[in-house]
This record gives sequence, C-alpha cells and structure tokens, in this order.
Amino acid sequence: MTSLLEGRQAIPASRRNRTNRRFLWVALCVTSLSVLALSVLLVTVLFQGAKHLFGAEVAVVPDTTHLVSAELDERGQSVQLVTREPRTQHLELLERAPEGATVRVDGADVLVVAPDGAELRAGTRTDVTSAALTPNRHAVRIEYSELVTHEVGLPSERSLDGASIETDAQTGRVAVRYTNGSTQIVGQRGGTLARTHVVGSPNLKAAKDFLTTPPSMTPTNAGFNAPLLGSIWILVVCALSALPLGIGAAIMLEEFRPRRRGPTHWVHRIVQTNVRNLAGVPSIVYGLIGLTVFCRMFGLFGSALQYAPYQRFELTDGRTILGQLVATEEEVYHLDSELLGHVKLERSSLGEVTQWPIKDEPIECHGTVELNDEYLFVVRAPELGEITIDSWAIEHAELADGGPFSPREVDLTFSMGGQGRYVIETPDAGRMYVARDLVRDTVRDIDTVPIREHIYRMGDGRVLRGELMKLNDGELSIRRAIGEDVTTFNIKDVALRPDGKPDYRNRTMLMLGDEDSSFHVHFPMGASVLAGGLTLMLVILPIIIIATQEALRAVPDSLRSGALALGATPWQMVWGMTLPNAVPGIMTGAILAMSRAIGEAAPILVVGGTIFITFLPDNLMSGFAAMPLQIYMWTNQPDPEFKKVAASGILVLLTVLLLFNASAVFIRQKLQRPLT
Amino acid sequence: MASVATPTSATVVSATLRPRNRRLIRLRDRCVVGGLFGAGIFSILITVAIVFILFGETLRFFGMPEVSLWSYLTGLEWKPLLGADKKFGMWPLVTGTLMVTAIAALVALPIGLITAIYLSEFAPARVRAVIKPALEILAGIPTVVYGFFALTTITPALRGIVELSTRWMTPAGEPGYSVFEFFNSTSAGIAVGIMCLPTVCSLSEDALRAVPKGLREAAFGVGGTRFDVAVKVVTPAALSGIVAAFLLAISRAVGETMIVSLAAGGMARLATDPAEGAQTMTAYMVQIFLGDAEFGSVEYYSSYAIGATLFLMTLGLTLLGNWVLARYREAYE
Repeated sequence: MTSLLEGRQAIPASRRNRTNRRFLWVALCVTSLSVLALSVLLVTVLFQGAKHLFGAEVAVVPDTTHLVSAELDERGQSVQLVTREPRTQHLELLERAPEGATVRVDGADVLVVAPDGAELRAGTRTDVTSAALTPNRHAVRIEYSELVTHEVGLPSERSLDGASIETDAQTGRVAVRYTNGSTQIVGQRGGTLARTHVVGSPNLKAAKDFLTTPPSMTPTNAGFNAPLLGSIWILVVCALSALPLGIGAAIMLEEFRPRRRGPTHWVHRIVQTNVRNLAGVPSIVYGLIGLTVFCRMFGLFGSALQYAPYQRFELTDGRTILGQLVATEEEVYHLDSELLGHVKLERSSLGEVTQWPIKDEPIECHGTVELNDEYLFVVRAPELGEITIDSWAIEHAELADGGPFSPREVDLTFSMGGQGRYVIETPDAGRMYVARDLVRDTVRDIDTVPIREHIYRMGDGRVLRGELMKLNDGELSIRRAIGEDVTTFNIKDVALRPDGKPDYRNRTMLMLGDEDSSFHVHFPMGASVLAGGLTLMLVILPIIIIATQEALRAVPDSLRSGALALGATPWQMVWGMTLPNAVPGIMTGAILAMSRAIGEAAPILVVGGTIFITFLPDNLMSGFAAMPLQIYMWTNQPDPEFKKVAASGILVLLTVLLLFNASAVFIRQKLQRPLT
Repeated sequence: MASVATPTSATVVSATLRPRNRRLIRLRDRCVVGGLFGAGIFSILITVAIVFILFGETLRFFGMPEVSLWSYLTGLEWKPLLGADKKFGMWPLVTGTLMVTAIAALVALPIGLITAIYLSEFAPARVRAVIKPALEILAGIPTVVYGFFALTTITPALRGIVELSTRWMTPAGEPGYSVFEFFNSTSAGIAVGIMCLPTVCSLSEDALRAVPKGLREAAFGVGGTRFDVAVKVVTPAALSGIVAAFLLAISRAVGETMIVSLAAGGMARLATDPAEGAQTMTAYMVQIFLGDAEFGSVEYYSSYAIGATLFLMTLGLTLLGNWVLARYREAYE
C-alpha cells in the first residue's frame, strides 16, 4: 500500500504494467502446472487401472512347464498344447532283489540285473529317464515322461485369420496373437487360474471377475470382493454412529448457544475449540485410540494374548481345519479359524477332533520332515498327522546338513512357541519357528499366505530388514535390503529373527446377543467390523460437526424468530424449522465426510484390518479387509504385476468416491433453495 | 416474518405446535437438549481419551528398562527392532518427517498461493467455476492413491530424469548416475505436496475472496494495476487466513501416513539427503502395526510415544493457526 500511496519515486506506469503482465503469465503457468500435476495423477492411475480391470479375463490355463509344442487346430476353434509330463512309478518285484543288484533299461524294458548276471524283467515303460532299486529292494522306482495333449478352446467370435502363436521362454507363457493386435494367454508355467490379458478389447466380464473374487497372493487371480464389502460394512457402522453424534453436537453448538456467562457457556466454548483441534489430529493417532478403546478395551475384558485351545478338526470328507471352537449348538459347531474366519460345521460332518498342542504342552514324537517340490515343508508324525507348512511361513529354520530337500526321519518336539508361533524342534536337524496362522490347513488355498517383512541377521553380522521374496534351492531373495532393491543370499548365511505377529483378536470374553445373529457383539471387539467402523467415526466426527454447523449457520435467523414468535419451544423450533431447511447442507457435508472415511487406510491398518482374507464379513464381529488398505498392501508388493492389480483397485475406489461426490453435488444443486 | 417461511415450513410449524400437554413437551425438550449436550461432550471425551491413552502408554514406554526420556529426546539413532541393542532416539524419525514436510511445503505453498491469487483476482469467472470444484474433488482423493502415484510415476520419473541428465558425465554407452534411491523422501515429499495443493489453494482463495471489494476499488482508484491490487493490497489483507491455510497444510503433511510409508521407505536414519529414503514417524507406526512387533513389547509401546510426539506437533501447528487467525485477522465490517 505504501509504495502506491507515498511512492518514494513513482514507478512508471509502463513498468507497472509490465510487472502486471509478467505476473499474469507466471500465475497462468503455475496454475496450469498444478492442474497438470493433478490431472497427470488421475490420468496415469485411471489408465493403468482401466487397462488391468477391463483388459483381462480369468480362465484356467494348462501348465506349460514341460511344453513340447503348441499349435492352432485346423478349424481355429482351439489351441493344442502338447506337454511332456514327468511321472514316477514303483514297479513291485515279485521277490526281493538280491544284494548288489542293479537296474538296466533296455528299450521299453526295465530289467533288474543280479550280481551273478541273471536278469529279471520288472516291467515295461517307454521314455524312462531314470530307474533305481528302492532301499528295501522290493521295487524299482522309475521316472519317465508322458506326452499329454491339452486343448484350449478359443472364443468363436474372434477372427483367427492370420492369428499366430507366441511363446515366451522366460515365463512359459503361450499366447495367441490375433490380427487386431490383441492377445490371449492359453498356457503358462504353473498352470492354474490366470488373468488372460486380452489387450485391445475391453470386456466387462474381467471387471466383474475382479469385483467378485477374493484377494489372492497371485496377482493374476487377485480380486476385490472382500475389501469392497468390508469397506461397505465399516462405512455403515461409521455412518450410523457418526451422523447422530456429529449432528447432535453441531445443533448443541449452533442452536443452544448459552446467552449468559456461566458453566454452560464455558463448556460450549471448550467444545467449540476442541472440535477445531480434533479436526487437525492425524488419522493414524485416531487409529491408536481405536485400537486401545475398541479393539483391546483397555484390557478390561481379558488379556489380548490369551488363546482358546487350538484344535484340529478332521472332517469326514477328508478335510482338516485348524481352529478354535467358539460355540456349539445342537447340530452345528462354530469354529474360528485364523485362516478361514468363522466356520460352521454340521456335527455329522465332523470326524475326529484332536487338541492341538497349547502352550507348555509340547508333543514329542517321531516323524519325517521334508521340503517338497512346491516349497512346502511337510512334517509327518503319527501324533500330529500331516502338517504342511508354506515356506513363507518359516521364520527361523536351522536345518542341518543335506539341504532342505531331502526327507529325513527325525525326533520331533512340537510345541506352541508363544506369539502365535509353533516351534518344531528336532534334536538332530535343528529348530523351526513357524507362524501359526500360516500353517496350511489342507482346505486352504495357497494364495492367502501373506508375505511379511522380517529382520534377517546375516552370518557375517549384517542385519537386513526386508520381505522374503522367494526361497529357491537354498537361496533366499530379500527385497528392500539396505541400499539395494533385491538381494539374494545363500540360506546357510542367514539366521532369521523369529518375529511374531501381534494378535489382538481375542476369544470371546464377554458375549452379548446370539452368536449366530449378525448383530452379536463381544468385548473386547478385536479387529472387527464394529471396531473399524467406530474408529473411522472418531476420524470423521469433527468434520461432520463443522460441516453441519456451517449448514445450520446458513439458515437465516428470521425463520427461527418466526417459529419462536409463534410459541415454539427451542427444540420445536430446531426440529420444525431449522433442521428441515439445513438438511441439504448437512447431507452434503455428511456425504463428503463419508467419502473421506472410505479412503482412510491408516486408522484401519492400526486397528487391524486383515490383509488377505478369502471370506466376506457376515457379522459385526467379523474380521474385514478395506479397499484403501488392500490397495496399500498390493502397492507394497515387490511383484510389479501387483501394481496393476492395485491400479484396478484404485479405479474401483475412485468410482465409489465419484458416486459419493456426484450425489453431494446433486443434492446441493437440486434441494438447496435460497433462504434469504 | 411468517411470509418468509415457505408454505411447507409453515405447515410443519403448525403441526409440531399443536396444543399438547405443556409439561410433557417441556420434559421432552429437556431430554433432547440433554442428549445434544451429551453429543457435544462426547467430542471432549475423545480428546480426553487421546490425551490419556497416548500419554499413559507413553509413560509405560518410558518406564521400560531399555528406554529413557533423555535418550529419546536427544538420541540420534532409532533401532527398535534389532535384538539386544535397541536404541530409541527420536531424531531420525523426526528429521525424516521434517524432510518430507519441507519438500511438500516447497511444492504446495508457492504453487498453491499463486494459483489461489490467480483464481481469486485474475481468472475469468468461467475458469474459476471449473477449477474450484475440480480442486475440491481432488482434495477428497484417498492418500493411498497419491502413494501409488509417487511409487509408480514420480519415483521412476525422478530417477529417469537424473539418469538422463547425468549421461554426459559417464563413459559413452553407460547410463547416467542414479542419484535417487528407489525409496526416497523427494518423491514422497512431492506427492504429499500435490496432496496438500488443493487444501492450500482452496483455503487461501477463500481468504482472498473474503477481503472486501472496497479495498480493491480504492487501490484501483489510486491507479494500481491488477498485480498491485492482488499482491500489494489483497494478499496482505488476507495474510492471516493464508498463513492459517499454510499451517493446516503443513500439519496435514506432518500427519500424512500412507504416501510416506509407500514411497519414502522404512530406513530410520538421520535425514540429511533428500535423495535417500527416510522413515517418518507415521511410517514407523505403520511398520509396527503391520506386524513387526508383538503386543506388550517395547517396540509396541514405542509407537505410542511416537504417536504422542506426532500429536503434540500437529496440535502445536493447529493452535498456532488458530492463534494467527484470531490475532491477525483484519475484520472489515
């Protein structure tokens, strides 16, 4: 102002105009920069998401690990994949082979040659690659290969003129490339379900598959149904708790403002400043509060570290479930499995129930330990049955010589190691710590095993923190090591720090309501839908209060005076006059607050939203996944394929948000009438 | 007065005011007002809970043998997860947070303010009508999305740019230097800055527009150009609101969780180089609650201490903002 009025030396108008023009340019550039930054963000994210979401369909494709040939058939209806599958067979001998006998393969004949030269035919088999006597000399174990033909059907509507087959040696993928440039995967290494990318032709089925399948550890199979439904559940809880409280508090602040000084006046002022300050608290702090107040309930209803007895339920159909029995009815058992969630079982389908070892009750037995070809540790013992453990789950393994692959007979001690771990101890082969929730139930899909970060202490004293990527033939790849993105080590150099997962889930200390109903509640709430929703309520409550206050303030005082003049009590004035006129504003604010809640990941993460679950929440006490948390976990995975899945998730989340915002705008446009 | 109320409101009033037992009505009023009061008190309860839980658990943390308040406040090493030799000095996490916040502020504050000045003082009404709601929608994008953007777009772009621009320094045929680590605070800071941009812009613009027209007219009257009016008259008049917007944005940046935990990495070290990764306070809490620590351990309680520190920092910023607003507000009515 001073430069204008006093003008120590008047700046000539031409220069002022030049400055003006320059600033306008700068401002234009900066504004377009900020708009550009935000649009680049939206476009890249949405584009990546759409590519994955609409550009793929899910199909079971054959395993091409041992591919021999791949050809289009003459009619163009299918692709013929021929693979050479390795097989093993035991050829039983009529009598035990003599000491020192050898095995010889002559054409298709497998012959046992005794030391004295006598030959005995054990059987015939073509394409034998190796043959040897078993240690007890009662049989010959042969490995041979067999040609298998897989026929993969192609969609008939696509033009096959000029279509070609492409194979990728690195991934084992076999794809058909159509003339329009789109491709379809017809086989890949490992087989199983795959999102077969069909670039160039958006298809809604892929999007539907994504929305209706559960999350998975394989990026090609990962779906979004559990996070989507989990988010809806917590949002409903959050809305039902936050809206009445927030609107009530705002009405108190705006409509019942005390006129005179006194204690109520002070309360009023404190609440007002307090709400402002609460709006600035980081959401992760609310997560801490939610964890202590709702999930653990200050430990009032029992310690969060207690476990109900863990049992092994063998079903008559051969499946096995590990879990805890939480309730029984006449014909139905309710189990809580950490992997399957809440399971209901008919009593008739239940075979043997054995108690798993609980703390301080180690089981000593004799059995075998083996790491099989699928990287699964298999522990077999009469007392334990067969336990299959994913190698991801092994946090600490000191296996002695011989490498991890050979099956060996050992004396085992199987016990609960605390912190949710099993300890399998073998005097001659070392000790294994196994995260208990990662022990494979035979019914569980391999896909649900989470990868977690751990501390790895190297043999040379270095310490690395990272995620186990793969365990390969005694080599271990760790991501996010110091200074490097991926590091590979020999497993013999690594001692893994046994790291437990905090377990806040408690076993029904105080139960309200019928266990079977959707509305039963137990305390402490644990990592449940209810606790998650209430935590989000804390986050958005200040926002709702402030928005509602603004909506109420926009109602002109003349309306209030009119109501009071006609003899209304203060509450009748609010209920009959102020609120109906403020409803559009309140609804807009509430919807915007909800859209904030649906995108919050940090508080959900702290209260323990589950990361990989295959079940949908069906009551207030279910564990849950949430969209933003799932996106976070996918983005954090080392496999770049997961980034694409994350982008699809983001697309879904943003679509939901867009719907919210659009309805808020609609309400603002249509319902709001000018009041003054 | 009554003519102002629309016919529907009038029927509502007459319906609710039909004569009834006065005592019952008064009783109901009391109950309702009591309920509303309860809802208001609930927000105080939340604050009480925050203070008691955060500081209660923090006290428990400082009561543990491995920890002392002094080493927490002065320590330069944060090594909570490594076996016997645990170190709890808060500065690596605090500097990490400040580094990311500073980069975010460098991005968000100037761009946000200039955009706000442009929108409020220069832009045609039509441009404003498009950009303002767009900014508001962008303010509602979840932070995970910004984190994804940082990791998949900003980081590769930064690394690519640096590698390309240093190619002349390396022997021919080799790529340039890779200065930025895969997880680095610059990328996270830029993403946080973009996240804060709509906040800064929208709030500053509100503050600028709240300056009465008379001021502008007077400045134009003495021969000011639009630049003179916008930068030398309106902006100083709205300064309290702008500073409050800045402080709010900074406090959001300090408390931002998902972006930094995705893009800035998990190494707690004294943040001196923006090209390196740095763990922030929020990212550490995420690490703890993703399962690195068991319940009841010293690491578990350390997250409460970090949470309390974070709470104090953001509370300080909020209070400062409120104070600036109250103290330096120029009221023109």
